[in-house]
Amino acid sequence: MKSQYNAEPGDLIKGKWTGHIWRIEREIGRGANGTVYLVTGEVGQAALKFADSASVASETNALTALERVRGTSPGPFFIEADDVEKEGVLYSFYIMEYIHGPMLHTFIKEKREEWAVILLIWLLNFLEPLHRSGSVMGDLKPENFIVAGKIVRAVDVGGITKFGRSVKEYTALYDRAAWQAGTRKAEPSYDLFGAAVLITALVQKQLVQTALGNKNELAGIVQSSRTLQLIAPVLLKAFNSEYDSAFLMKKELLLCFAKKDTGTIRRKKKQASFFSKKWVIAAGAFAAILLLFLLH
Amino acid sequence: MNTGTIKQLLLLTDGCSNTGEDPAMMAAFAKRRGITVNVIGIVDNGGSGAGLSEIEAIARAGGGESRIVQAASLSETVVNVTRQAMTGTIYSIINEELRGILNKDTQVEALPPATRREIAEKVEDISEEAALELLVLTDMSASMKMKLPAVKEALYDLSMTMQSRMGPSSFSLWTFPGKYSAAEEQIGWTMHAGRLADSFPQLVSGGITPTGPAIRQALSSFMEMDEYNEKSI
Repeated sequence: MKSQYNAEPGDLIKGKWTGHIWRIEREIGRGANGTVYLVTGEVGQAALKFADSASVASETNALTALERVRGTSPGPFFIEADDVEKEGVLYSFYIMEYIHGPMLHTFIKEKREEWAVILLIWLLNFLEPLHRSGSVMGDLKPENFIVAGKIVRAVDVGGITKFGRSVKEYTALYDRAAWQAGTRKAEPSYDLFGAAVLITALVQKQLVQTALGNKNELAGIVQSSRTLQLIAPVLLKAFNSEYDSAFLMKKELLLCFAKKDTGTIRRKKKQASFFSKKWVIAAGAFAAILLLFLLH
Repeated sequence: MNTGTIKQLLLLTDGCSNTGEDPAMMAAFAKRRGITVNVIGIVDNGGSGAGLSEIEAIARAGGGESRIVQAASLSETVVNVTRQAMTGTIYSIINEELRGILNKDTQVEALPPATRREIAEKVEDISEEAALELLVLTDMSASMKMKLPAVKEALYDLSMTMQSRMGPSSFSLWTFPGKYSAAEEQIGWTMHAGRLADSFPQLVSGGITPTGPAIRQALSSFMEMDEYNEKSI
């Protein structure tokens, strides 16, 4: 293994090919195959990732493939790839847009767990165009996604794999094969399985971690949480790889959620004669309107 | 395009060899025969210095990758090492070709990033579609006892990735020390990756660690396969 470039805040990185200079602000991420820094250059703030030259090449390919998906890239915009020389050794890196926002698991910590359902919808919005372009995300760990406004964007594209191949990078907890629930082949149902586990783990991380490898326990975990119960039929279908389209899964999720929601309201209407509960209806209706607004 | 066959020997061990020829020398021999040797060292905590340097030396001589890991993270390491070594093999072929066309010192790294991206795409295509022969050679000496469940799990995980590949893959499992020789074949060449984990023996076999001789014996299995392939043509 080649040694990694260890950059300190304040270091200047001068690209061999472009001559562009990037100033290291701080480290923002470290993974198995590279380190990401926040940098400033002529274009302003950006993210710089050091990795071996083969990873740089394949990840920049994945980034540009994502950009072709639609106007606003579901991943960071790719800026440029370059090398820097230090003490006679060449280090490869690439520059991408710096996406600001909380990662999925930090986002949910500050919110009520019902937000997990919204996150699943946003995640499906992210996956749908990616699948249409013929690739899967592969590595569906919460650290790989950032909530930017009302959308979810990917910040690590190392796992993006073309349909039909074996998934390039994955995290066991969200990996269909590790759960003995199917293959590791890149196909939409692989990502949709991972997305369902990801959402379940956002709510019940401990339980999911101890159950890893035993798919049958997932159903029980879903029943253990009120939030997850609401969307249980959709999650269970995803665990069984029954969805091959993110769009269909999203549609059923919305239907399922809407049904459950009106159900609770109706029940509350019956109790409305007990006047003290009146405000509950108001709050419920408000929540429903808010939800519909958010889903939109 | 004939994408050829990628041949890999993956050695899983937890320490120093203590008998027979130098394992690094055997790895160098394998490399000359077109077989890449990758080594994963499984340690408890930190591991002994001598064992670690031997692991690196074997992989360097065998043109492959080496990693030192704790049993808990063995699964992902086995998959990553196998994958990286496959692209590594293809890159080294490309580097050789480049040196032929351009000049002696040229490597992919010397090309501008945009060209490298095109090469990376081709390399990925080739490593996905090329035929793969993977021989797993596992150390079963007494000190490995506690690590065997992790090895079995890692082999299962590896088989999941391999079954999802597009290209044809064959697998073979060898362990050492053997009852009557340095190493013995547990599973002969098979297209069913699942058999690696299914028939993985859970019993350790002895105290000595004849890593060098074990590599030599396991290599013979690649040679036999070549003969078989030639005959079948």
